[in-house]
Amino acid sequence: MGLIRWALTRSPWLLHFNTGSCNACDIEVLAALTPRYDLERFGVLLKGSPRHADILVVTGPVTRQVRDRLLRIYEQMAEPKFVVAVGACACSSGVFRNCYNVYPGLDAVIPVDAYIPGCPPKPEAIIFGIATLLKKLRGEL
Amino acid sequence: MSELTEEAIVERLREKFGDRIKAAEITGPRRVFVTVDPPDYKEVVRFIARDLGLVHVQTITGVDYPDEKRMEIMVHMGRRITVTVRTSIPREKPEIDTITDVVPGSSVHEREVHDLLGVVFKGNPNLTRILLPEDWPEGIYPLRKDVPLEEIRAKPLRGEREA
Repeated sequence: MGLIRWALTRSPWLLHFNTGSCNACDIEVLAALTPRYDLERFGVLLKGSPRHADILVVTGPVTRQVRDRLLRIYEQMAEPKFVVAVGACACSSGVFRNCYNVYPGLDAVIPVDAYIPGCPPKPEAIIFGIATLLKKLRGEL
Repeated sequence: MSELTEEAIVERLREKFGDRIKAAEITGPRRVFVTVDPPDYKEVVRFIARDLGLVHVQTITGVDYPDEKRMEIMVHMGRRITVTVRTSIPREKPEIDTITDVVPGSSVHEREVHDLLGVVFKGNPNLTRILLPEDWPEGIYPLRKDVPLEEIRAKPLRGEREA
C-alpha cells in the first residue's frame, strides 16, 4: 500500500452535503458522528470545506437546482476523492423517482463509490458503509 | 385583534360585497372558503386584510382544470381562522391582478404560482423565476396537467441508467 493510500484510510475526512434531503438522513449522519457511535475511531472527521475533505457524503435526491452546486463542490475536492450516497433518495431518487425536478440518482450526476440504502439508514448502516469503503480503499475487498 | 368567528367573517363579507360573493361556505372548524369573480378578487383580499385584520397570507395555490378550461387561484389568509379566497381564470389567458400592493409578502407565493402554472400576476414588480432552475425551458409549466412529463425529466449527466 502506498503512503497516500495508507494515510487516506486512516484519516478519511468527510464533507456532508444535502442535495435536497428531508433532513432525516442528515440527522442520521450527524448521529453517526456523535461520541455514542464514535466514527472518529476510524479517523473520520467532519470538515467544513470541500478542499479539506476526502469523502463527499451526499444525502437527498439531486434536484435540478442543486446540480451545479454539487458539481462545483465535487470539483473543488482534491484527488483522491470518493463519494458516498446516503439514503434511498441519493441512491436512486427514492419516492421522487420520475419527478420533473430531480435526477434519477446521485450516480446520474457524479461517480459514486458506496451506496448506503435506507429511509433513513441507521447510523450503524452509515458506519458500515464508510468502513466498507475504507476496506475497499485498503484493497481488502 | 378581536376574535372573529367563522360566521362573522362570512356575514361581514356578504354585508360588504353582497352578490359579488358568489359562494361562501364554512367547511369545518376554522376554515372559510369564499368564491369571487376575478375583477372582485383584489378588493375582497384587501377587505379581509385591512378591515377583518387577517393580514397574513399563508400561501397562494393554483389548480389546473384542463377539462373545464380554467385555473383556480386560491389565497389562504389569516392565522387562527384560515379564509380562502378562490377565483377562476380562463386557462387560455391566465391573468389576474397582483395583491403585492395589499400584502407585500405575497410576492413570493405569486412567483411560485407563476413559475409552476404560468399564471401572470398583473402588476407584480418582480415576477421572475423562484423555484425552477435557471436552465428550465421557457413556456413549460410543470404543474399543468397536460405537461409532457417524459420530455421535461432531467437527463442524466452520466451513466446509462434510464429515468
